[in-house]
Amino acid sequence: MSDLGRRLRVAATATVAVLLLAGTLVGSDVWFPVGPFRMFATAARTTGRVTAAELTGVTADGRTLAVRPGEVGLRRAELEGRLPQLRAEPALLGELVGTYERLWVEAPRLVELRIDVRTRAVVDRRLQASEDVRTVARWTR
Amino acid sequence: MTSVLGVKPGSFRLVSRRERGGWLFPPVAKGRVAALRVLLYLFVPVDVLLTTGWVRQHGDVPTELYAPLAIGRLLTLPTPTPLLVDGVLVALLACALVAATGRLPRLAGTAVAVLYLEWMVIAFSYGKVDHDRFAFLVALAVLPTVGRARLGDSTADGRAGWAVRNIQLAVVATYVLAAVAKYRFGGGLEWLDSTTLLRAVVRRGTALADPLAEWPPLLHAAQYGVVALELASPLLLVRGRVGRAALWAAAAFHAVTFATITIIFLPHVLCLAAFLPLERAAATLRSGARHLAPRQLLVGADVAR
Repeated sequence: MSDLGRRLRVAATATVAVLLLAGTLVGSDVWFPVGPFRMFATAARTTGRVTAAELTGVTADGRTLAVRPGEVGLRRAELEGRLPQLRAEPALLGELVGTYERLWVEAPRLVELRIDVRTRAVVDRRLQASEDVRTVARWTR
Repeated sequence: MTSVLGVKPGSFRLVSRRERGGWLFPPVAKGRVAALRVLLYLFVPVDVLLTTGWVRQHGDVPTELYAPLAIGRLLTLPTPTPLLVDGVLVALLACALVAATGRLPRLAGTAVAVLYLEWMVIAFSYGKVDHDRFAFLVALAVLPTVGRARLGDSTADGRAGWAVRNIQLAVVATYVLAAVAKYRFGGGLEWLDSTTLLRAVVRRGTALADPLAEWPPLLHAAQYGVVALELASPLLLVRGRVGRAALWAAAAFHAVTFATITIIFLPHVLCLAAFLPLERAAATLRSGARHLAPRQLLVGADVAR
């Protein structure tokens, strides 16, 4: 290995290390791939709520079916991350129905797609049995 | 001329740190790089087609939901469309398969690194970024720098050492900085006493994990365990028994995480292989095959008779 090769390698390692450290200390997810490793890094309260969003579709004959976020090209966390935007613009749910129909050509046609948020309470670290389900965004054909 | 001790004058001298290679350039067998190439480049098709097959569907998602990463804006990368996503997919698969054979290690390897980074930009520009890719991206970036390397080649090489060391450092950094992120985003030490794992179990728990939700002290203690494991991860870099124990602990941690909340951090887990003497495994396999060959011939002869 030449002296230059060695120096370039040391510089590359140092540069990535500095970027990664900066990303961890002051960056956010948009800094990927040197953003902070914040998987499960937020502290959920000992008394609070656990929420999970899910998609529900309604077919022309009135049947409801659970639509997995993956079936409209999104992951659940992506769906939840986009919740404010989808609530403000329910027409985007219509576009997701378009994605669903393109990806699953043999699936029944949907006349409605809604986002339900399922909430369970946690009191002093203990999960409570009762569950609340609320629709936060709805699109109808 | 020999001295009274029978040693040639000048045969002992101080070996400088640079000559030994230094900590960043440990002499590592090229065979380990060759084995890592096979493992990681063959994982690329598994990843893009199976384990993260959802990325491909991002080409079909409404463009209004595209929220580019900083790197996407900086390099003015195009908004994903079905054509772009399929184009990247095909090119990535082709380059990864070539690179896995060990041919064109620099060209094909660099192409894989660039295309996989673009694949990740497509993956994570819709509001959710995964944090299991850093070591894998580092691995894809450094593997081409070693040049040619054959499986089982025990020739020690500083370039191979630098590549392997960087993958190892990236793995350790992921753990340690994950603990730092918990401090930053989890209200300092508050994270330790939070209910983050309970929340994860409620949202993603398997049948194995669901009973844990009913037993809060265990999940509470597990949070201390997770941070302890992350902070202790530099022990992976220690040679011998300590390093091996740290590697087993890391593997066990990922196995339990997968069994309970179906999160595996697969690209990161594969990079743990950089801590294993893979060059020896390849040599053992090869010698095993050599020993097997005559017996196979004998069996063949028996059958023929």
